[in-house]
Amino acid sequence: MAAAPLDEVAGIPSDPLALIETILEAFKRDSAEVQDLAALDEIQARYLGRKRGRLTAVFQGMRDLDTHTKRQVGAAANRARQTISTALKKLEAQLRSAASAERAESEAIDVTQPAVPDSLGGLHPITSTLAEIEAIFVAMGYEVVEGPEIETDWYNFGALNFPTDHPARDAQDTLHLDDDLLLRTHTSPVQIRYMETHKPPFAIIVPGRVFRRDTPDATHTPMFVQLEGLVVDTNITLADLKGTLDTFAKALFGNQTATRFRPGYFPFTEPSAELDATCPACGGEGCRVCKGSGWVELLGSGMVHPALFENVGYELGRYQGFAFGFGIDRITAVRYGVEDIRCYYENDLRFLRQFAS
Amino acid sequence: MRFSRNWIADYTDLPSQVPELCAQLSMLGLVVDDARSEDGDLSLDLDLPSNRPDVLNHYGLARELSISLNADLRPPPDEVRVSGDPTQEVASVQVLTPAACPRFAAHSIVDVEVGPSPDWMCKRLESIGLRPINNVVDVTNFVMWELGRPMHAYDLDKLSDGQLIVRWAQDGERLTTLDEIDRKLTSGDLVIADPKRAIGLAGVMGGTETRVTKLTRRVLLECAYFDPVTVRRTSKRLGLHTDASHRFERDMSPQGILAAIRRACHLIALPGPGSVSSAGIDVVGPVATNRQLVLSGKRLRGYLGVAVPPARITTILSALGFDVSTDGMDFEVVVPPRRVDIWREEDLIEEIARFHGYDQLPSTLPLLRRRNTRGLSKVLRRERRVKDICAAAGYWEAMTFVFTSEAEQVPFLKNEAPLPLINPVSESMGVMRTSMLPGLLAAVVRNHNRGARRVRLFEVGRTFHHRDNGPPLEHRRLAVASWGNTHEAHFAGPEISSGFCELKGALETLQSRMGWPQIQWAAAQVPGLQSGSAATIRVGDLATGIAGKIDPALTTALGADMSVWAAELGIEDLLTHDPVAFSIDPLPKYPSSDRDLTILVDDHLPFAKVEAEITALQEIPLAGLRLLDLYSGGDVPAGRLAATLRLTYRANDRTLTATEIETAHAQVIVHLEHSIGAVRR
Repeated sequence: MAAAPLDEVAGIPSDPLALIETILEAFKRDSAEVQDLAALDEIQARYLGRKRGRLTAVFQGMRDLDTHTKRQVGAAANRARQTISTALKKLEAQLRSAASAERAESEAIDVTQPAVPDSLGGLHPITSTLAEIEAIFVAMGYEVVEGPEIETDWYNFGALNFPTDHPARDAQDTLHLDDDLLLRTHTSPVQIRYMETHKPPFAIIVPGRVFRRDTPDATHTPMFVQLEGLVVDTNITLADLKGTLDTFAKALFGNQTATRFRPGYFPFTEPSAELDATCPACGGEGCRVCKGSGWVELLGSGMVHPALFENVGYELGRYQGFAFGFGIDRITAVRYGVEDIRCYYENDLRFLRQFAS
Repeated sequence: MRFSRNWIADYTDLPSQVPELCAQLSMLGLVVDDARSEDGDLSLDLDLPSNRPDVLNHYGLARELSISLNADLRPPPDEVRVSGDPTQEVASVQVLTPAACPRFAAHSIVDVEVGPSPDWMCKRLESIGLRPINNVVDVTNFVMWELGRPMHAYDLDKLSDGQLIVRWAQDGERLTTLDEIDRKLTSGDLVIADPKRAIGLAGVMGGTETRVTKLTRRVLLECAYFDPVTVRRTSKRLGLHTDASHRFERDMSPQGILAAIRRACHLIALPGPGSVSSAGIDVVGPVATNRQLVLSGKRLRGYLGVAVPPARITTILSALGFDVSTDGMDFEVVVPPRRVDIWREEDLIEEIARFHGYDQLPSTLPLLRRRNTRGLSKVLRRERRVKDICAAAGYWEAMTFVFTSEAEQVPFLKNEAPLPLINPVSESMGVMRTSMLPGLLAAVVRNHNRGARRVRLFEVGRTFHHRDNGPPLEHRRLAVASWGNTHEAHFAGPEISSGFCELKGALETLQSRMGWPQIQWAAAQVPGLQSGSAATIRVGDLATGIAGKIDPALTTALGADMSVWAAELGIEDLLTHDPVAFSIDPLPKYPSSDRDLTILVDDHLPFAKVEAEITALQEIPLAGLRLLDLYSGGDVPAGRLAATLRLTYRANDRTLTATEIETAHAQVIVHLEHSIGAVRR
């Protein structure tokens, strides 16, 4: 590819000006053949190199010329150097651009290729729903409290005003370890434990696993997760309960949610109340989740029965308060349209992954 | 429980629209589970509060609705023409157990002609799913569903000596109940008997032998009050839940009995032949006086958060059957006996709230005088963080049942027996878990069997342990389990097979991110884990646990031969303790240099030994040590292992020269040759 060395070319002009012309012509030929940066470096050295550059030689040869000729030749040589170096720069820019285009071409990717799969794990839907609910109540000033999962008959039933041998206990079929010890059927025993060691005023919520002697089916599991709330002071009203629950329902399901507060029955509250919310799945139009009614039952609640205050030794008639409780499983099911709540405890990754957000 | 709209409408005028009726019932606390139109009627499936036996009948429901609808209540007619002899001339009643049967009334009707009931009654009974039997039995059922009092009718001629005796059953005594089942009784069962034998289970079900049949001419009607606990125990023991036991166990009042008998006599004798006795038998034990309560208007307002006009309070209570007197501020009331649920002022407040309307209450928020301003407790915050870190490490949170089969727990047990449940849902949920690993393992295998290619699960929960003094110990634990590659298959992705190092990495990530003390690992024999692939772990003196490969025999037993790596760690004390304090190291001022080194060592040599020997060389400026590669086979002699180490050298006060680094590196090599017989490759 390299042009024949100049000294091999016949008839090297002895006139420096003619020599410069010859060099420029040779450069034109040589540079036209440059294909890559290595060749470019080579002709740069050949023409402008410090040691053997042809044009450099012209400059060096000027020592022997007379002043007039020196000036003429010097000007011509400078022009020639300018021409060559400009041409080299232009050529370099072209070559670099071509090289990067070539690299880009060879390294081009298919942006439709699949991503490296998500390798993060995630929280159980009950944990994440619970965290959201806890945050709502903590923001309202509630403290989060825990209690034992194995309880005594007294804390689970007696202290909560469940008469012995009464059908009120039938709703909570109980798993027993012995005559007295049992798996708590609700988080309400923590109400008693907390009140035994704390004087009002206070506002607490109690999350935790609870257990019932239910054979698993689409709407029952022998273990589930509840959240209990308890607020006691000297002046807490049923209207406060209603407002609190309505605030909670709107915070969880959105401001468009309407609630329905209606009478209920629980041995440990009097008056007792249940709360329905407009179905979050259909917004109250009626759908499969709410069985067409437009409402979903959210929770049970009421004013703390005075028998509980007596059972924990509070001064009679001094305090009043409210309590509420609900299943996190159920709330999660309502929110996400989970039709078979056994899914929560089967831990099938295909189920769990759907709650990754 | 099924009720008929039309039947309720016999006693009060109801709204014609179904939704309105259902809303009325719901807003009274009488929950409508289902409402279905049938034959021009509306069948209502109601879920009624267990403290309200007074509404377990159509008239009781009509009473509640008439108040909220502001409509008249029409009591059913009960006039009777009496023509027979007093009952005591043909029958007698002896109550040997007055505590279990405080009241027992009997009334005879003679010259009865047993036949089908009139159509209107058959229709009523059929509307709630009852099968008409004859005009006597149907009346007892009808009255129970109308007024709420269970009744029974005997064929008087089949009673020995016309005698009814209320007594405890003898142990082993037998009785064939109306459902044709021969039952063996115990001394805790209350029976109705004649002098020869038991003829009925008190409050639960009558017997076949003395029942009313087509041939019956003389009928003895029974209406009684039985102790609710006695009835409930017998009913539960025999698994025999009847309409009667359902009412008795809810504690009916001893009053209202005679009204029910009168109504039954009216219904039996009015349309057909039959001569009603002029006087029944009524065995009455001590009668409790009606409860008197005071409702303070001020307390009512302070409880509900709204003022209800005094006139409205009086109207509501009177309509419910309370005797009310008031000075406009406070209300003195006498509770009607049927309201077995009203004992306190708060019970009266609920009545006012129900009929005033829960929907009429204002919505307010309590002004909390003591507010939590610190958010979650430290323990709960840390528990949440443990879960978040596990999730970030690639593990999915599982929740498994706290009870498992004993067989699942046994392989993991060490000097401990799990606590059994005495009435488990099934044997597979028979004992309280002492380890969370069986539950997690089952979940891993289940995922595998359903086609998963890799599984990473963790659970934070409790295990349960026997304690000699005091209630069982509940221990908060973390369990993790992994099987399959660390990443899903992907053409560009890294795929590392699950193993001990991944498990260890997850736990050490957790340890460092939580600021826990260093974990110490020690090879050990651990129940449930494969011998030679198991370790015990200690986290400072705050926690202990186990880690390793689940014994493959256990996964095989679950239907899959799998290498599942798992660990379990007690975290209770880790969550209560503050993290280890730390301060920040300044960034290194001088560069470091890496030198790799491959040595052959004995293949039983623990890596910890290599690490200890190198770090023992305190004079060399070592800043880091990594195990880059480990291999055997090929040109590595048997019994040896080739380990490639990367040593990082750095001084804190200068840039190390090449000579200094080479000298230090040579020193390491020489030391390893001498101390552990390593051979450089």
